[in-house]
Formats: sequence, C-alpha cells, structure tokens
Amino acid sequence: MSAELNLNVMFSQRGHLTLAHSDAALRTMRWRAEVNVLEGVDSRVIDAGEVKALVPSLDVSPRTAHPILGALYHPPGGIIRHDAVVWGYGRAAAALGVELHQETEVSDILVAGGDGPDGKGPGGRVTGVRTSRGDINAPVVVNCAAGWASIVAAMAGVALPITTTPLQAAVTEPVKVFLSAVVVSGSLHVYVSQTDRGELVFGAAVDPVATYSTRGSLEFVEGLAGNILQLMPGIARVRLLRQWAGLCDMTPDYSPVMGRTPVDGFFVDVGWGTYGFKAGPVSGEQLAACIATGRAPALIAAFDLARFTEDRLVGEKGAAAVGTDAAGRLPSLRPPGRRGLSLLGRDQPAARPRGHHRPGVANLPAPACQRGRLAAGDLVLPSLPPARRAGAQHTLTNEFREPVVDPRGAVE
Amino acid sequence: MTSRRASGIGAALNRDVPFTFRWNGSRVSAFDGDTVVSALLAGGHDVFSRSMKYHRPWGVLTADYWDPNCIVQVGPEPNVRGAHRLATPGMDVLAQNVWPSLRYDIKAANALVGRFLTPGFYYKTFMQPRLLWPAYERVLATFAPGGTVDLDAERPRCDTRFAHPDVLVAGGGPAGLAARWRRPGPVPTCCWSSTATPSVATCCGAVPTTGAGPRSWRRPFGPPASRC
Repeated sequence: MSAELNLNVMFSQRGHLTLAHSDAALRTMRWRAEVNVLEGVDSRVIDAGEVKALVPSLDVSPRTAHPILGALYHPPGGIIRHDAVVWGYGRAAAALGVELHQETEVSDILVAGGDGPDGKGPGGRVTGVRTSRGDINAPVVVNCAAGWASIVAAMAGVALPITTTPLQAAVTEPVKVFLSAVVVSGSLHVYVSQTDRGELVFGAAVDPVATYSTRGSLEFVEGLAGNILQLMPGIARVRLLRQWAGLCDMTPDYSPVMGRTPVDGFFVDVGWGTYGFKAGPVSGEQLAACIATGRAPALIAAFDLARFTEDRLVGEKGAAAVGTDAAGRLPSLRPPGRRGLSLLGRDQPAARPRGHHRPGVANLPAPACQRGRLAAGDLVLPSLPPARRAGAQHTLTNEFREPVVDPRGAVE
Repeated sequence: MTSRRASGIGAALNRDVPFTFRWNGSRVSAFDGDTVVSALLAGGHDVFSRSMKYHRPWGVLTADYWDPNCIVQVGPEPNVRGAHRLATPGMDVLAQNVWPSLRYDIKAANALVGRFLTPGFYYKTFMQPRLLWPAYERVLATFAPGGTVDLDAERPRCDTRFAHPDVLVAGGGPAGLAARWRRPGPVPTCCWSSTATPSVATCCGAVPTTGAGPRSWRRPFGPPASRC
C-alpha cells in the first residue's frame, strides 16, 4: 500500500495478542484460531510462557486478579498510521479525478417522487445534495458517513437502525519503546500498543450510553488505568498525555450496512461500529461494483439494509463486533465505575475458587496441552456443548460472555 | 557549589537542611525546598535535556511545571517535570533520551543532515525496499523521545483491589465476626463493614474492609493485599 499510494503508511506487522484470562476464554481462542487457520490466516493459541516471551512487560504470574492463561496470537497483526492511510487515499483519489470538498457541510439530500414529505423516502429517486456551498446534482449519492450516518440517511427519508455511541481512547506521554506487540484483553476491556514515537495507545469498549457527545470521561480513565495496570504493573508511573472520543454507529447485529436503500440511487456503507478502518478499502471496492452493476457482489450481499426488516441478521464473527456486543448490549448491568462486581457476572471473568489460578498449559484442555500448537482440522467444537448443558450463558463466538462458573467448578 | 545562589533571599528554602542527590551520576547539593532544577542551576548546571529531533542542548525555559526543557527521569519514573519536582535526599535524577551522555549526544549529528529531515520526511522515505521496513522501523523507534519504563519497579498501592476469599461475611459487627469465628481453621475471610472494626477483626485473623459499599474494597487494616 505504501508503494501504491507513494506514502509511507507505516504498516507495522508486529504481532497481535488477544489474552485469555479463563479456561472458557482460552477455549474460545482455540476455536477462533481454528477458524482463522481454515481461512488461511497465520494464527495460533500460545501459552502464558510464550506470551511472556513476546511481551515481557505483561504480568503473567498466577497471583493477579485476572491471570493470563494464554493468548490468541496473530503474527501478521499490527498497527498502521491511520492518518497517513487517509492522506494517501485522498491524494490518490484526487489524482484519479475525484473532487474532495473539505469544510463543506451536507445540509440536505435532494430526493424526488418518494412517499414521504418533500418527495423523500421509499420509492423516491435521489437527485443531488444540498451543501453549505451550494447544490450538487447527482444521480447517485453514497452515504459513508461515520458517526452521523443515521442523520445523513434521514435527509433522504431513509431510516437506519443505528444508534451512535462514543468510543474513548487515550495515549500516554512518550517513553522509550519497550512494547512491540499489540495486546488486547477482551475480558478487561482494554487494548494497548506502542507507537514508534513511544506513546502507549489505549482503548476500551464503547461507552454505555448512546450520544453524539465526544467528551472524555474520568470514569473511562479510571477504569482503563485500573485494567491496564492489571496487565502491565510496570507502567504505573507513565502519565497520560490526552484522551479523546470518536463516534461509532452501532447496528442491531453489530455488522455494517452496505448496498442499496429504498431510495433509488441512494447507497449506504455505514454502521461499521468500532472496526470500519480495517474493512473500509474492500467495502469501498465492493460498493463501487454494486453501484456500477446495479447488483450487490456476493461478499456484501448479506449486509443489505433490508436484512433488518426481513429477519436476516448477520452473525458477524469479527472480534471487534464481539467486543461491542458485550459492551453495547449490557451497559445497564454493569455497576458504574468499577467492574469488580457484576450483577450477572456476564461481562467479566467469573469468580474462581482459590488455588485455581494456574497459568499456562496446565489449564489447557487436553488436546492443546499435548500438541502445543493446533493444526488445521483439530476442531475443538465438541468441547463446548457441556458448558451449554450446564446452563451457562455462553455463545460460541463471544469471549466476553463467559460461563458463570459454579463455585464448585461444575462447568469446567 | 552554591555560588550561584543569592544570599539572604529565597523564603522557600530551608538552608538549615542541606542534602545531596545525584544528577547523571554526579553529586549535587541542595537545600530542603529546592526543586531538582533549582538545585542544579545553583550548582552551575545549565543543560537539562536535548531537543527531540536535532538533540540540541536545552536549558531552563519557564522554570515551572510546564517547562518542556526540564523533563528528566527520576529513578524508575519517566518524564518528571524537573522544575516542579522537589529534590529529595539521595534522589537519582537522569537526563532522558541522550547517549552516551547529556554533554556529548551522538544524535546531535542529526543537525548535520537537518536540511533533508523536513517535517514529515518519514512519510516520504523508508519505503524501498519494502522488505527493509521492519529494520527501518526498529531504527526509527530508537529516536522515540521520553524516559525509560522500569518494568520491575515496585507496583504502587491503590485504593481498590480484587479479593478472593473463600468466605465473605457482609457486616463486620458482632454477628459477622461471630460467624467468622464459627468457621474452623485459618480460613481467609473478608468481613465487609460500613464501620471500621480493625482491632477485633485483625486479632481474629479476618481481613476487615470498610467502605461505602461492596464496589469499593478499601485497603484493609490487616495485612497488605498482594495485588491491587
């Protein structure tokens, strides 16, 4: 990409670890690794010793509140300089003849012949866009706004099943580089990586309230600091430099909406929640094909807007969609401020009996323990049904809804 | 070494309490009330850091918390505001992001090729050959500013913690303590109470906690918690 855009986007494939803090999470990691391997992705489950070797700053001792038992490891995963990607795309698009109008607010979308007021809504046909700098006539209008997608769609009389929620992040003052990999803990709702400038970048789950406000909250910083220090106690003396929030458009199934709308000529590529950056380029290509041919390509056909009215919700298995699931659907169940106690125990690792905090392979179920590294075809799905029979609240794809372990260990 | 101090003024200093601390390995004398930088200035030092890109020597700019030129490493703590932090006896203060020393910094050689290091030059360079980018990146990362993180530093104490008792008694009054006594053997027990009963509970081996509710596990009066 750097060569094509002639801009160094600093794509750093430094490795990506998703930590497992319980046997149930470890089992989910193995399942995800299997799926990844079958899809041809370099991905495997590693034990706590390997985690420590890759990221020495992590506390993998068994005495922590949420011991690290292992991790799902993607060696090709990494970070990228997101501003550079946008600059590169913008410059390349301009070179291809695309006009980019900055500082130009879209105030209305012009539609004629529709069922709603002013000729908008289903059955209508889009004719253009009204902006703060004048009208633009166009037979095709694409809404790919993030954060305000439903407001923009409403200008055309199209209702989107989207709620908008802030996602906060924070960055520390620079310190000498000590962290090479990207570390994610779904159970602790935190991710961390270090840029080449030395800043530690933190993020968490989306805020538990739907709002267009992008203010930072003290609650976020407190929870983030507490959780990250569980993982990396050594960075306790590093100062936060700044925090910020962005807006995430969340759909009922936490999957994006791509394709046509009831208004002819009005297309959407919206609802990406927290993970649109990774899939943005390919979704742009697919939507361009959809516009040019009039038919949605197979890759995005299932993500059409009509799925919400025809009961065809998408079971998106992406990790980010899973993460927003737990945070977005269960906000009121979480006590404010601390996550030490949960009313249902669903959004945090379940309490464990004492003496059960053994890291590493000791807690792995037999197959992974013996092989160390799973091979394609080693499906571990059969290990999951017992948890369901025991009445645990557990889904295959959701590492955050771990089973509520009975104190006597009945589930495990 | 106090030749640069004016005599008779400086109400913030207690000149009856002199001590020394270390600056880049050498001893510096200070008085009670000195900040790191005020003591260093009085001792004749005038360079406290170097600029991030060309590593030019930086002295005092504003002499307050926001002084960007006086950011130093204090023991395991990076990015300390040296003009704001009070000096303490035996303190170990180091200049950050210089090698081999603050006086002779090899990266000051960047200034020799400064005309090629325009703002954002890294977005237009290090692209070819692609296979070398990871190596380029490792070199670029060595130019990151800031202090160093001591990953083995002692974990600071927090006002909250996670506890894993076998038995949790809600209510540290007579009934709660009696319930704990009825349990035989040395069982780790948390007695939660809205009022402190430290002496009784500590004697009976329980770990009393006080606070406004279960979501604030206050630091116990008994043995310190291993984790926070």
